[in-house]
Formats: sequence, structure tokens, C-alpha cells
Amino acid sequence: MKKKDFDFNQVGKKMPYKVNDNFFEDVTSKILEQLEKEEKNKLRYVRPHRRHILYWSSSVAALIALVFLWQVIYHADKPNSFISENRTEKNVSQSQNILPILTDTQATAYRPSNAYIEDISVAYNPEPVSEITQAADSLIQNISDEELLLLAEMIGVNTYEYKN
Amino acid sequence: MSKEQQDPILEWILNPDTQAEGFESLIKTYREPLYWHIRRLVVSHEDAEDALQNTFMNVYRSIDTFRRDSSLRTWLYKIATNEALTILRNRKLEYTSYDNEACEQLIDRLYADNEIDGDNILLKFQEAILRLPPKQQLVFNLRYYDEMSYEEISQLTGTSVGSLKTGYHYAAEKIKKYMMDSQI
Repeated sequence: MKKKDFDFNQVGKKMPYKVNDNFFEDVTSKILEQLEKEEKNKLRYVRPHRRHILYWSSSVAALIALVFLWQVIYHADKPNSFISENRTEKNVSQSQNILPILTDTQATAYRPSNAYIEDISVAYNPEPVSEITQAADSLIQNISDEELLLLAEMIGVNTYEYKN
Repeated sequence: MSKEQQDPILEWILNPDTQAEGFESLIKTYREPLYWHIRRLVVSHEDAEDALQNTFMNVYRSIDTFRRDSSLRTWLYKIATNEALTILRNRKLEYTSYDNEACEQLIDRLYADNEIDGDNILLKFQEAILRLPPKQQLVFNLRYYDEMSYEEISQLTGTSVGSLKTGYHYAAEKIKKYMMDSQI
């Protein structure tokens, strides 16, 4: 027996699915409520990651400024930051047999040469540093050279003075 | 829905002073066609409702990114289709041409959720559509029910007009054969 050809008009656009009479009104209300909530939240919402970046960068900047300020104040009356007065005297006394004793002016302007490598190594062996300095050091390591220079300029410190 | 009727809604939404009214108008205009489009893909009423709400929320969030390289209607249907497919994916009901299990689950759901009486031919017809490969299913639904042009469907799916015409033709033939074999 030949099968009857199927005519799409038998179905048209009807579907077997049904919904409640008020469904579309209800879903519209739900959506509009959600939109209103989202709009209100948008006004007072600060993205967490932006807030995080702001706090972090402000803290780092403040800490770096404090460290540099401390450096400036602590070493303000010392011409050579990494060599104490006692060490300078010790180095001079050790060097008496090698070079003539320097005048005050000459000592101030003096830059260590190879003859004083031992003294320099003693001078550059750091004393135990405070926890604040250690924390500041680790923070300083994490910022770029450009940022460090910018901060130093702001405080008026010449960073090149302490380079080897 | 003519383009002249679409554009005013978009202009309302983009104007901050009329945005709220614009969105309400958008929802009221498109809620039914989008719901039925989604329902044909996901079968379940609850899933269709979720996908519909998500669609309008996504429209709200991304309206500023709408580039107008397609009509507003096409863009809405694209979002709605993605939401429907996301729901199917989450329920592991996304049907691929090599996975019949998802297809069978959707058909079981079709018969479980809807009454079988004088509308049996309608159920059989939906079953025939659900048995189509996903792309043919989509183009058939959009062309047959939503009367979308092939150009619009091409913008929505990223498929060429030629492929879509071929796809629709094969889909219609398969449905016809399935209905004849079922002999309702």
C-alpha cells in the first residue's frame, strides 16, 4: 500500500508545547526586576580587582616613600652611607703603611680603590638590618627601575651615589 | 517585524533618558518569538524560561557592543540560540551528529512533558525535527517557524547562504520521509 505523502500544511506552525496564560507577563516582570537590581548594583559596584590594585599600589608607594625618607634622615650627616665613622677610622689606620694619612677634605672626596678591597668588603658587609628595611627591600625588588627612579626624584635622593 | 519597527526600539535603548522604556518595549516585542525558538531547541519549559531570562540579561549587559552589522532581531536570536545551546551543554543534552543519546533524551522529554492526544501529529513533527543534525535543525526552525531570510540565518550561524539552502532542503526531505514512515 502506497504511503500517503506528507503535507506540511497538515501541521503548519502549530506546536505541541503549551504555557500558562500569564506566563509572558510574569517572565517580563521578572526580567525587569532583575534589570533594575543590576542597574542599582552597577552604581555602587567597584570592581574588586581595581580596588585591589588601588590599595596595593597605594601601600607600596607609601612604604617606598617611608623607606627613602628614613634613608635620607638616617644618613643625612654621613658623607658615605655604607661606611661608618669607626670603619673609616679603621680603614685609615690599616692603610697607614700603604698611603699617607688623608686630610678631612681628601677623605670626604676619596673614592675607594683596589688597595682597599678588604676594607670595602668589610664596609659593605651589612650589619643586621631591621625588619622594616628587609620588608622594604623585598618590595623595592618588585617595582620597576623607572618607578624607583621616579620616587627617588620625588624625595630628592641621588640613587647613583650608592652604586659601585 | 519590519526594520522600521525594530530601529526605534534600539534608539530608545541607546538613549539614556528612554533606556528603561526601550528595554521594556524590547522584551515585550521579542519575548514570545524568542521563547518559542528556544523551546524548540531545549524542549523543556523550565529550561526555555531560564534561557529566555538569560538572553535578555545578556542583551542588557552587551547592548553597547552591538555593532549593527546585522539587524537587532538577528542579534537577539543569536544570543538566544547560544543560551539554549549552553543549557543543553550544561545538561549534557547537546546533540552532536555522532551522539544519538542526547537526541533520544530530548525526544523522551518531548513525550513526557506534553500530552499525547489529538496533537500526536504535532509531537511526531517535533520528534522528526529533533532527529535532524544540529545545523539542519537550526536552519529548519529559523526558516520554517520564524520565516527568517537565508541572509539573516547566514549572519546568525556564520554559514554560507548556499549551504543553508541545501541544509534546509535536506531537512525538509528528512522530516517528510519520517512523517510518511510514521504514517500519522
